[in-house]
Amino acid sequence: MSAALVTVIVPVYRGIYDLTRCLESVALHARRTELAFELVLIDDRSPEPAVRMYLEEFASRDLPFPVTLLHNPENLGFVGTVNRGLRRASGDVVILNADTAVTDGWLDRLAAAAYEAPDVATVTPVTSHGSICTLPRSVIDAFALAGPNPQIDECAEFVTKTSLRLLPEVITGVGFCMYTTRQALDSCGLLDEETFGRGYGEEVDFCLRATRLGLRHLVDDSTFVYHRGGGSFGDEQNEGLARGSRLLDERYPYFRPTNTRERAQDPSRVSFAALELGLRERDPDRPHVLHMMHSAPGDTGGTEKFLDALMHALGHEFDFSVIFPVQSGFALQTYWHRPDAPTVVEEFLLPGGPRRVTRIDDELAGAALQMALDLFHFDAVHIHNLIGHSLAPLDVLAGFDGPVLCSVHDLFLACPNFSLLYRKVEPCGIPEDLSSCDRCLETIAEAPMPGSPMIRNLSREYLNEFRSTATARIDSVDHWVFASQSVADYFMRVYEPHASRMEIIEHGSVIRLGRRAPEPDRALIYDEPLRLAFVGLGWAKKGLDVVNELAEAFRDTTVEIHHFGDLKQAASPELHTHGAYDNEFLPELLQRAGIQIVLLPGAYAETFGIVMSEALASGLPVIGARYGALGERIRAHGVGWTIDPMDPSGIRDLIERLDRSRDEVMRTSRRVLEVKLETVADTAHRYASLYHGAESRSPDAVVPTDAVNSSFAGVENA
Amino acid sequence: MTNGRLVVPEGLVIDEVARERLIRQLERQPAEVKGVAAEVGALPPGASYRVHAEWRSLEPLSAHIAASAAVRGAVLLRPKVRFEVSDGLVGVDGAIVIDRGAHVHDPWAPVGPLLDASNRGRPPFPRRPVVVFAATEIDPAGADWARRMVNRLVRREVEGRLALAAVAEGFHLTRPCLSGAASIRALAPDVIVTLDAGAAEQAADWCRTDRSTVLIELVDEPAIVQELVSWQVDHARGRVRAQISRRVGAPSLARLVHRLSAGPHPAPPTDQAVEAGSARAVRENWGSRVATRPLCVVVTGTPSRGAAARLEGLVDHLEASGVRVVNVPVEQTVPAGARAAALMVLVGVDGSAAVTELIEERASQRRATVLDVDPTAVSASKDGSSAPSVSRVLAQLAVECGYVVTPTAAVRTALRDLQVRSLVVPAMLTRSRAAALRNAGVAPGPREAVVAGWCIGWAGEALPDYLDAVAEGLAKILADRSDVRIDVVGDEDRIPMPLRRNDRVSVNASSPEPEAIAGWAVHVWTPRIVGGELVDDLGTLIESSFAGVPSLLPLPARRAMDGVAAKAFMVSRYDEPEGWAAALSRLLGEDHTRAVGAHEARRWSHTVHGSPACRASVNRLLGWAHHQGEL
Repeated sequence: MSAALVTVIVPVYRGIYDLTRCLESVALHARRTELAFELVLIDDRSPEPAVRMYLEEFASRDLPFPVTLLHNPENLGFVGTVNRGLRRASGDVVILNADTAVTDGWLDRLAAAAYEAPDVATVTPVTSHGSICTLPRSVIDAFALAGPNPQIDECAEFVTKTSLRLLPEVITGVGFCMYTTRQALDSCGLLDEETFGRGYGEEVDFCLRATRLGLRHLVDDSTFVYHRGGGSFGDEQNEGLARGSRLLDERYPYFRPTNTRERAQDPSRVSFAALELGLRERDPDRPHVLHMMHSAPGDTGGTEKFLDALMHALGHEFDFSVIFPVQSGFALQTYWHRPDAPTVVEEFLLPGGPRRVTRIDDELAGAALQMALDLFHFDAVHIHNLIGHSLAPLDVLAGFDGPVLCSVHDLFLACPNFSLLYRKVEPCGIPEDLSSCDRCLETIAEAPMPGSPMIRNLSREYLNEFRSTATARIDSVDHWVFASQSVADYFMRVYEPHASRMEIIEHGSVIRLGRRAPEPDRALIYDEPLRLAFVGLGWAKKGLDVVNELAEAFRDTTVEIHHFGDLKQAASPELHTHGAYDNEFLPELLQRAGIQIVLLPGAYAETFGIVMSEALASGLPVIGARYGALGERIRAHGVGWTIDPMDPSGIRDLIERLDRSRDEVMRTSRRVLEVKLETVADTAHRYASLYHGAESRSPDAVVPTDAVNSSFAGVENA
Repeated sequence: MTNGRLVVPEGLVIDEVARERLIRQLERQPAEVKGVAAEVGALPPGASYRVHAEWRSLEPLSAHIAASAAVRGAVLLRPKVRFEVSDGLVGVDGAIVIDRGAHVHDPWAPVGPLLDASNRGRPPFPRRPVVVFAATEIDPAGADWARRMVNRLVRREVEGRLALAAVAEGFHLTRPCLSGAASIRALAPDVIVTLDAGAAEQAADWCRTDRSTVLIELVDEPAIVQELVSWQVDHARGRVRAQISRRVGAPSLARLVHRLSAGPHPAPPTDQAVEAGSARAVRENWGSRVATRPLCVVVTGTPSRGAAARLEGLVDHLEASGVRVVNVPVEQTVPAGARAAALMVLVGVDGSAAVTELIEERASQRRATVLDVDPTAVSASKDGSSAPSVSRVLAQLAVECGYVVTPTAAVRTALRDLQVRSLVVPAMLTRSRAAALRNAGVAPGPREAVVAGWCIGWAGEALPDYLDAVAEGLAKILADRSDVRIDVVGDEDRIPMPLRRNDRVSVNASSPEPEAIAGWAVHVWTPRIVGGELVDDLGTLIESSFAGVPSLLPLPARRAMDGVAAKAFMVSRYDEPEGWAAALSRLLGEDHTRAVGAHEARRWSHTVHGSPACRASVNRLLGWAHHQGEL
């Protein structure tokens, strides 16, 4: 390395904004630059007074490096201006365009690269806009380098940290920021001002002259310098480029084909591939949780919405992957967070069978999970649903080191007919008498409930084997998580995991809260027809049959029954149908339609009732089954009325009474507004502590059958 | 209760339901009625005082009778009315009425003979679990314990009941009934607590037809206070889910009852319900709905430009909902047939003798005449409160009609003391306009410059009082950025001074074409704000949103977008030029934020202001106008 100062030459013509960014970046990063350098600013008779004023002000500052400000007496153009600087320099030189921004450690690393070998003429950093040194599109997008607010320092940090530092060799350097060794300058002389006049092609010419003398040109793939591009000389750019290109062709006939070949082979491809992989690399310091789902993330079901909200809430702390069955096996989708960069969403296909899994213990499903565990490091596994996975994952997870959680979103583990609707109609309550199950499973085997897999050999024997297999593997799960006491009690009809492994964590709302009016709308409740909304998928499981019957029954009255959601089965013409809706706006849609009560007449025993939460978030009371989570929540908070979904005439009587007693509607609506609602984000910390392996019981731990006495120790005397 | 005094003689119990009802009843009574009373009444067998009050409250408010001056029960009195209580009777100095729908309970009254429970023992509004304490043998001590426990449970929102062979006298919040299948069938309890062996033996038979009822056994074992009995398949003991002893506390027992009420059915399903369910068929008679198309007559005077646009949207969606619409200028006589229309809406109409006569004629036929009140009619109150108010003439017309529709809740605020029924009907775009905007927004043309759209309105429309701050803020942006243009929509002479004679400010004196709106990078929405309330319709906000253009808006207007608008689109210092300049400058520099805002605007407009939502509004309007509700 030359003992003399490195001279950084910045020719200036126009563009106060770019210039300011450039010089401020040089000043900022000089403080941590070890190499001694001087800055030579050459004003090429800029037409903008602001540029001149800024240069004067900058040059007068007390900076940790010498600054020389030169003013050309007349406009010399880029090449002439650079040459004026080169003539002053005694050591190595960096030609730096005014529309660049340098980054931390830039000069030290460029100089180090220049002396990696004795025959280096130039070193060019990677950039946002600079011919063969331009970063891949994915990196440019990730750091918004093409936009008005590029993340320059973040990108530089990423490049430095991720780079393989291969220093690929190229035919020529690129002039936006070209470190040029004294050896090259002494051998080749100045830029060819006479031929290349006002610019474009002069640095190529210089580099090719150096190449002829046996010198080489490198790209420093560990240093990023931002270059906005096209700004230094404004509209003359296209003309200049064309002229420069023509002159190079004339002087170096071999250059164009060589250049074409170089672009095709791309000497930086390995360096850039490393950066692209780096964008997708997971930060190993962040804990990684695998979620097991029955369907692809982003589908419209309640579990999918919950998972989406949970991952969003904990994304700052955890990386996530989701494994779910697909037609040809299993897919694993990543949600890896990167600071100041988009989340890495990649999908990997894992092997599987040709059909969806319906066997009790499917080896391929177990193998797919094992492969996922082998390929990626996971700190915790969170099962949401084993439909499509079989029970094999429970066997695999017995050997997993970290905590395994299972959220019981539905009762699939109790019965493959997880709606627990006897012959698709009546809530079964998980009967003792398996002859009922025989009759039911026969029906289900012929035509399963929508969303359930077709299992041809469903029978009492299948059910017994299914339950005994699950029982044998029940301890693979460290934390059984229930969204309500009621679903825990249903689960305990079949399994009794140890009390210390059972927790209740209520689902928070998946939609925004804070949209309830402070008081119920008195005019709406007293001065309008009674309007009830059946919300959700319109099919029998959720009570469409009952709703149809009610709509018909109230046909010639002022009571209106509405439906919000997709219809999967035929609806009565008396039902006011609104069609599918955007979940986030449900409160507004209900309010717009003048709904006073949400009707959830499904016979299915809900495990939590996300729609009920949405109703409460809208400030509306609910009518729902007296059993399951709806009954539990309605009674606990007094926020609605309980029904027997199998008794439409009872529901009709209740609605008639509510129509006559708006005071009751008003009172109940007031109670709804008193309920403190939480979002998924509010409850997410409890999952986080379980992912971290917390063993302490939460205050909402399920009271197991064998521990009731102790929990009621402090009884009050009658 | 704020303006009355409730007199309840010692020992009587009145429920919240009856109390609230008395308040509303008193509000309805003429001034000469000094109070309303709820008389003491007997409970049906198997009922609690609360459940009986709920059943009684189903009587209409008109179910009241004049009373003599002394009543056995509770009386709600107007302020300063004199009264005296003697021998459990309330004597009042003045006329009172007895509300037949309000009940007062005497918990010390003799229970009387035990009878089978009445169907009215169950709550008419089922929410609280029903738990029956059942015994088949006479056990005075046990009956007394059960009596006290039932009273405690009733206070804890659990409907405790006594079904016994013999009753313990004393304080009762319920009326005991006779134990047996008839009572259990009538009460259909969630839980039965079997107090003796006979009850334990027979309980399962009593509730045979009810699959969900579970049993709790009362046991006399020192080790047990309250204990669950496993209900795991192969381990369960029929319907029995728990055991308790008399040492159990009411709070614990209430929690247990709540828990068991939500658990799995203990009895297996039957094929009966399945067969009944499969017999249900959906009626497919779609024709009946279109047979009778209601008629709506719109009487128009001189509506503002905004009101005319809203009317156009409303008419379009009324017709889309199957309503025939006839438009009659106010200066013409409304044809006889149209005078009896199901709905009549007055738009831009001032009071006149003919209009008053029309309203009265329709009122006598119990037909609603609805006055549309435009936001331009709202101004700040002159009483110093700055709350929204309307002119006396308009208020008078509103009172004559009795029904008001408006696109802004501020009108409701202005009319709240006038006993006028009002409904907020949001501005609606016609279906064709919405479609054109949506299409334009999907493929906006090339943008030569960064254009901010701003609607300042037309002559006759009130201007927001922070208009100058907006104009100065925009002028600052124009000075700072040479690539920005402002597209002003409205009358040229309303353009504030800072933006006049600027060649980068264009004026569009008519409603802009969808393509022009879609070409905006951002829409600057500046609605009027009076007393902190938004006093404007959302027409321009909806239009720009349909075209996928995000809107920058003053912070108090954020509710207009249902809280969807992100912080970046709010101007908190909306009465300062710097507030607008800074927010707009930031937005114009952030392509990504604008893109996200555009996406959200589209979502919001399509969902909350699309055709289905407009149809819902129309349905609501029709139902509201026809409903003979109480004020």
